[in-house]
Amino acid sequence: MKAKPLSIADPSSKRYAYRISKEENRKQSKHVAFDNIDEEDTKSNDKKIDLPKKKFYRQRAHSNPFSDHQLEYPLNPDAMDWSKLYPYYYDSDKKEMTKNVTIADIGCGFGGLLVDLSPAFPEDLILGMEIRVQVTNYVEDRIIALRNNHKAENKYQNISVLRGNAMKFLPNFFHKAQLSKMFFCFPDPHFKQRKHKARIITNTLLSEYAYVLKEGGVVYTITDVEDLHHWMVKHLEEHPLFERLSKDWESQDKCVTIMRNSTEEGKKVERKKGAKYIACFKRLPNPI
Amino acid sequence: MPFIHPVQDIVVDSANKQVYIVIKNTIVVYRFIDGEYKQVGKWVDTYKLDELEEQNKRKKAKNNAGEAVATTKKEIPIAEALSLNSNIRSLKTFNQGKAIVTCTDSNKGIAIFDVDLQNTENCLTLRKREQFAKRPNAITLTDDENVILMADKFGDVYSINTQGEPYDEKIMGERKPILGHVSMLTDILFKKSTSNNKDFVITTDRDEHIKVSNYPHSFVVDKWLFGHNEFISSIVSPEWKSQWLVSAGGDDSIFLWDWEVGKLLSTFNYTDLIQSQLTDKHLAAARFQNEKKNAIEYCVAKLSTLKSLPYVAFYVEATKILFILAVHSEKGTFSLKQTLDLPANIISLTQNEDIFSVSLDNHESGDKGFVKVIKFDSNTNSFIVDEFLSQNLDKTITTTLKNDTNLITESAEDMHPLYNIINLKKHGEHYS
Repeated sequence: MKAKPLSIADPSSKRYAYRISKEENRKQSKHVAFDNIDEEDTKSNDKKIDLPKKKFYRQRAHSNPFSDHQLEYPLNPDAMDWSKLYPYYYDSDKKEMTKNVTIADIGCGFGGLLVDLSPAFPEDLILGMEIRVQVTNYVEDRIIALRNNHKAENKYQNISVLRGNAMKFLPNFFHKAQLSKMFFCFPDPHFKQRKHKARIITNTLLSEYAYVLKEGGVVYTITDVEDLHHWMVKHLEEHPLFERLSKDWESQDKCVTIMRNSTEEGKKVERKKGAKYIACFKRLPNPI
Repeated sequence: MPFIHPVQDIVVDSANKQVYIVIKNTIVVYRFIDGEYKQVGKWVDTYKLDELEEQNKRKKAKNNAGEAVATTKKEIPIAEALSLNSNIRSLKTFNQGKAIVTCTDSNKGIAIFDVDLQNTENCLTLRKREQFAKRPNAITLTDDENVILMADKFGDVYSINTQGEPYDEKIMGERKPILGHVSMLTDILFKKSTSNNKDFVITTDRDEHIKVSNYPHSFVVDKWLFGHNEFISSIVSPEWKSQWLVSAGGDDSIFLWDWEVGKLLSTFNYTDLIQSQLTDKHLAAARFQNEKKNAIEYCVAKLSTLKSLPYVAFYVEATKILFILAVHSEKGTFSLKQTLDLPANIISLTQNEDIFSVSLDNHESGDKGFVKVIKFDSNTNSFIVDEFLSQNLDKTITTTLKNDTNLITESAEDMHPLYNIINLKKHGEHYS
């Protein structure tokens, strides 16, 4: 590790105090992924929650997808308790979810896309997956605050986030053909050639994405790194289960518009007047 | 007291009465002729270490554009490099015993040999060697034996033609994997479905995953078999029940699956059976120890099953017990058939037709007890060690190798690491 570790362990720091208080908040809200929470704790309070401040959640931008992280993931998709993530869509009488996740934002970062997709796809459950702990906490706090502050209209109930390594454990969360859309927005470019296997789009990983995507489902990619764009397009085009969608299609798809404008990376690129490269691919049927 | 290094792997080809043993970087072939084993072949992997180091240097030193840059590198002592890089693993026979294929760590490659069953001088002829970017960990062959499927340490699977010239990257471009995991692969099997005759590849990894992919359309993932909580070290699928799969590794249980349906049929927990066999050798490494310093870690090293008899054998790394489970083909359950207490720790287990063979860590018993051949005795309805064959083989190994300085080891410290499967265990070291 080259970078100096952040001062999370320093109890006198402002960041530390902030993180502790937000953690309390998370524990009290329903959607802490794997903890069992008493009924008492879930009683909602009516005070307005401030949106989290990004500066307290900064973390190194890279995470090694191969390393042995302390991750929690279900044994299989049936073992996943989605009720903690989407309590509004849990039927407590029947003890089952009324909806399943159909849209996944892989490497959701600070969650800008999730927040904008939420009103655009009110009928879908949308999940962000992020490998960095603090960034996941930020998105979780953001969703807690948004849900709380829009309680009357039940908004933002259809988005959630979990910490995980999608490259390794995606099939632990999703059944075959469960998803209709997958987003890969501004992924880590891993410039060094030696690290290319760490890229989120490789020909072998695409087979696993194709497994969780239904026929006709769409993979969305966007990046400001031209080299990475060519890489992703090349691998998706070479893969027998994906076909590129036309520029026409892109111009009429609302997700493309949202993706272009709503992620924090996208906004940053906009501010710096950088280029944004978009490519979308349709999941083809399996060959017989 | 110098001794012959224990046999790291053994493969029996009973149809041709041949036995292949692997010690360090050497394959030795014995044939049963006129009532005793005779050495009929030998191959030493002499892949040059300096070439290897040169390559390492090239690979590590690349700039961002992927071009090589000159750098200086710390030198690895030759002896250390030898023990690290000269293993031969996963030897398999094919073409009715007229060919073998094996993974060679020295060049991170695989080597294919022709076996001349008439030749008694040296029956092995190297047909071709192919080299890869990452170390091959396991291999299997397709049913037609035209293609070898190799699973590597980095999680990728490559296909290699058994015939023809070695792959030439200059002409054909960089090799592309046919499928992959984002985790070290530990075992691979090629299977034909009993219900629709389609072909599949089953791969297992360090992240508890068993993946079933179509073949040759290996980009179509058929299913995952979920149930393991720890890494998987070994899978077998019996010929007498081809739709079943047995898997084991870091978990306390052996798992039995119907891989075609994708269903876990049952598990067999061996925790209680193994407790008495656990020694200080099973204490977890210092950095993973608990406060009381008594955390133990153990795992199943290898599974094996017979051609026609419904039994599965396995052993736990660094123990002397061979467990044999009966598999009930109606109910889909296991029961303990027998435990065989062997004179030393088991270091490899293989099967041919209806016999099991194990090799033992016999470094304390002075050039005897290298291998045990274990067969089913219908008179007593139990498995017994074939002492005649085992001792005959031991004798031949001792007489043929006692003067081979390459295979003589001075002390226990100089042996190749024999117990490293437990190192696959994950400890969740990185938090952020």
